[in-house]
Amino acid sequence: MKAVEAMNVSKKFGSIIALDGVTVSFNNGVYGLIGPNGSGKTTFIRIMLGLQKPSSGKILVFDKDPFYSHGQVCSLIGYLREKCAFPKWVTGIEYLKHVSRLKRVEFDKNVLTYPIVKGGFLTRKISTYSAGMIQRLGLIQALIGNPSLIVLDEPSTNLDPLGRIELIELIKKIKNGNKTIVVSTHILEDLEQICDFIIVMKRGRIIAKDNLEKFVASFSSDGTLANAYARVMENA
Amino acid sequence: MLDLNLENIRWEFKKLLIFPIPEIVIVSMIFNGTLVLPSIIVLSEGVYVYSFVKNILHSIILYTFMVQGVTIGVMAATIFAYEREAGILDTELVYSRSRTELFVGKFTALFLVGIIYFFTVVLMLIVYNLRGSWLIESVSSLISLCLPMLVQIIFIISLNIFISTISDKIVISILSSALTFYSLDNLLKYSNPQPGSFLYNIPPISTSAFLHVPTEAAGNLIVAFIISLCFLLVAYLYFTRFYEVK
Repeated sequence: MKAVEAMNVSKKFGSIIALDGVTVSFNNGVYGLIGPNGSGKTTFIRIMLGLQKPSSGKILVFDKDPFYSHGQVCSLIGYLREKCAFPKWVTGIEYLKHVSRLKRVEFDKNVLTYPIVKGGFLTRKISTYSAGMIQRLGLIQALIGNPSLIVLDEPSTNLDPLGRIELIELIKKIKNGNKTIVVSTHILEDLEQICDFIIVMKRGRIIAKDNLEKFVASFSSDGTLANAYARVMENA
Repeated sequence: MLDLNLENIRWEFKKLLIFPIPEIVIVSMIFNGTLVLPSIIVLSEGVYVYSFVKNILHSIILYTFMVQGVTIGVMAATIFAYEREAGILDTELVYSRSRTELFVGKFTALFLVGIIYFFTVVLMLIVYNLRGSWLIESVSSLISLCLPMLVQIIFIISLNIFISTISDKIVISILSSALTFYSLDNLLKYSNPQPGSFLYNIPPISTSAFLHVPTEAAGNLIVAFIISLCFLLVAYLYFTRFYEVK
């Protein structure tokens, strides 16, 4: 069973084509989703998680249609939203417990030991959090229930340099043979350290997909992902 | 099969309880209580105490009649339109087993708040009636007051859920709900002028309507109830079939 299988998925907003016949599947591994602003990355993620409905085509997450019913598989998914937001009237821990109960899984206190949430801020009301703390809470709530599919949309937004390092370490720690992790970001240096596969999007289409080593070897002149990405965008 | 998660109801209910309802009640009580302050100078102490208590109780009843619609409207707008606008709803949609589960949780929480309002008013009326209130004279007049109130609560919740599910912004949701409410009132006024206004279903006006023209007042209630169910059904279908985050 594939974690995600998209078949010819398109999405239109009026006359704007956000996604244009995207066909891709995600198995185990860390996938880096990259592309310029407005290339359809976030739209694809939202369709993948059932937050938006495709205009045409079909998408399955663990063999289920994500829009109409996750059913049991909701506990297998973890999601960090771009510009994440949480109710401000509860503490971070209360929110994490709420997510556990929503997913019908036991609250695992081990998530509180990750360095990314150190400092004890989770016991405070979310209304007192800085933007970086909200992002850290967002990262941790995506890991509740040890999900098999983790989708991180711009995970390093608002994180300080140390936070970015902790994020990379966290992803390295949680990735294993059974997990599918999708990371959408513009920071290619981070992806080089954590990704197994790269998917490049432009104007709603996937213009390149390969594993990281092959992708860099095929397109880069200096051995970096940034250079390979620039070449692919030039040629597309 | 209805997949109910009690966590949804608990969470939404807790969320609604943080609204500053006690503050609003206290402010309206103080305001109404001070209306009788000038009488202190000319009246005896006993009359002052009586007037003050009477006005405080009256203000609670007035609050519940007049402001509950607005409060529940704002609550409905918050748990749908605002959460969509702020992006809070995204994770709830992803982590819930189905959209039905989420919708039922939000509706049930709002309905529980409405029921609390309902029993508060009934209790206050009983207390108030000890002073010989004109509102409750017999069991039939109590029913004529409570029944419209219950329908009114269901109507307000349904209308506001309907508007807030299709709205992108909380401000638009609240304004649209108020305008729709009064538009419906006007439409019903044209179709059935005596006592056709939907506002006749709102206590205490409904009490008078029930006592004087019970058949027509009951007809209005049935119409209001059917409209409520339609709003709720459309909101449910929209939320489960078409609702997308922005």
